[in-house]
This record gives sequence, structure tokens and C-alpha cells, in this order.
Amino acid sequence: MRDLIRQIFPEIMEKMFFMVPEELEGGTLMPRGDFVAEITLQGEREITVRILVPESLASAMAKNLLPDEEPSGERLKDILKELANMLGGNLIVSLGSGWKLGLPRVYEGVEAFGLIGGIEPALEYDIDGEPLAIYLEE
Amino acid sequence: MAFNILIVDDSSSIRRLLRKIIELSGLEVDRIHEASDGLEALKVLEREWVDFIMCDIHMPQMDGIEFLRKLREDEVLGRIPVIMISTEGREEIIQEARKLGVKAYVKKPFTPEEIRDVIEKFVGEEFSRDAGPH
Repeated sequence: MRDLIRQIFPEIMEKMFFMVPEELEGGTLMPRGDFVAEITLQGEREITVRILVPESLASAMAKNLLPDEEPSGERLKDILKELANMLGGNLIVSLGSGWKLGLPRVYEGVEAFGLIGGIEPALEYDIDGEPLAIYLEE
Repeated sequence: MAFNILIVDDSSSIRRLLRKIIELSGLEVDRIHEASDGLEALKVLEREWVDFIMCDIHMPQMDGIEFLRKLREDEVLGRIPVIMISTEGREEIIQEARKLGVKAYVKKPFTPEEIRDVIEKFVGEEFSRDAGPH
């Protein structure tokens, strides 16, 4: 799963948000974030993918996607939902038939940290100097 | 003549992005309508005629495949051409969409150029016989 995400995630960031993620060795950049975008894949087992994103990075993504507007909090959440949706959708294609995609959700604040607290990220990226971490629960 | 278009996607950001790409594509547009899922799209179609629809698959309440089925049940609405734009890349779902008459398929993530190219090709094929929208 980690390798699949490694193949898929950079393409999403580059095509949709014009950003090139640089994968980091674990622990290089302290994961931090304000939002957690989550999507669940259901098949022979259930896999939940969570993406921890700081507000500043979400805001930069929004400005790259829709340069004409000043992004609101709702816009940031909508974009992160779509990010999770695109990652999940592309993952189930690689996983083969029999997998279903859940609907994406975005959490913030204490609720977000409750989901990832104490868990090691599966992948960490530096995106234009901002950290982004991906967590897997299987 | 100008086109009336319906964009169906639960992401308001994707709807806005598609609107922007269409506006900048050079296509002559009368109105662009939006809906956040299949149910809302059917309500829009009760009161508005559109020349083509750009539709996502994964949406709450009524997904894109169910929306296509409902659309094809209607003699008049069933003739509206549809472009699918979705993260859904599984062959069986794409085949299902094709069986339901989807004319073109774009996979997310997409670039603005990919959307522009598909619209240009699609409009050329679908509307050249009538020299424009209905």
C-alpha cells in the first residue's frame, strides 16, 4: 500500500495543484497539521488512509487550484476531501476488483489529532517547505 | 449559438475549476449550471435544458452511475450527452458508464489541458452535424 501511494500521490499533487512533493525519510520534518483528510477502502480488508495537512499548505493548494479567489475554511476542507478522494479512487484501481471507495471526510483540531496521535506516518513529504504526512490503518 | 452545460460534482472546488476551464476554453457558453449530486442534477434538468453534462461518479445521495440510469429512463433527457470526470478508474465501472451512453471519460487527477482537449473533441463529434447546440 505504501508503495502504491508513493506512485500515485505525487501525480495528484503535480497535476491538480502544480506542486512537487519531495519524499522524506521518517522524522526529517516534524509532522504537523491542522486538518486530517480521510478515506476508507473496503475490500478483502478495510484500509483507512489519512492525510495530515497544515492549513498553510491547504491554502497554497487552494490558491494553485483556484487562483482567482481567497480560499475560505470550507474551500480548504473541500479541496482536502477531493485530495483524499483522488488518492483513494486511484488506489482501488491498483488494488483490483472487489474494492469499494468510501466517501471522504475532513477533520480538524482536536478531532483530527485524535485520529493520528501516537501513530507513525507511512509516508512523509516536504511540499514547498511544508510538511504533509500520510497514515495508514489496516 | 451558445452551449448550456451542467456540471455535477460534490466538490464545489472541482465545479468551480471546471467552470473556469470551460470559460477559458473558447467554447461559446450561454449558461453553466451546477449540481452537487445526481438528485440535485435531476432537479436542475426539470427546469433547464442543457446541451451536455459533465459528471462525477462518487457522490453522496445519488452517484453518477445511478444518475445516468435515471437520465436514460427519460426519453428526452436520455439524449443529453455526458462526459464523465471521476477518480473512478475501474474498468467495470467505466464499461458500465459507456453502456449508459457516456461519450467521454476523464480520470482525476486531470490537467486543464486534458479537459480542454476532451471538450474540444467531444463538441466536435457531438455537435458538428447540427453545427452547434440545440
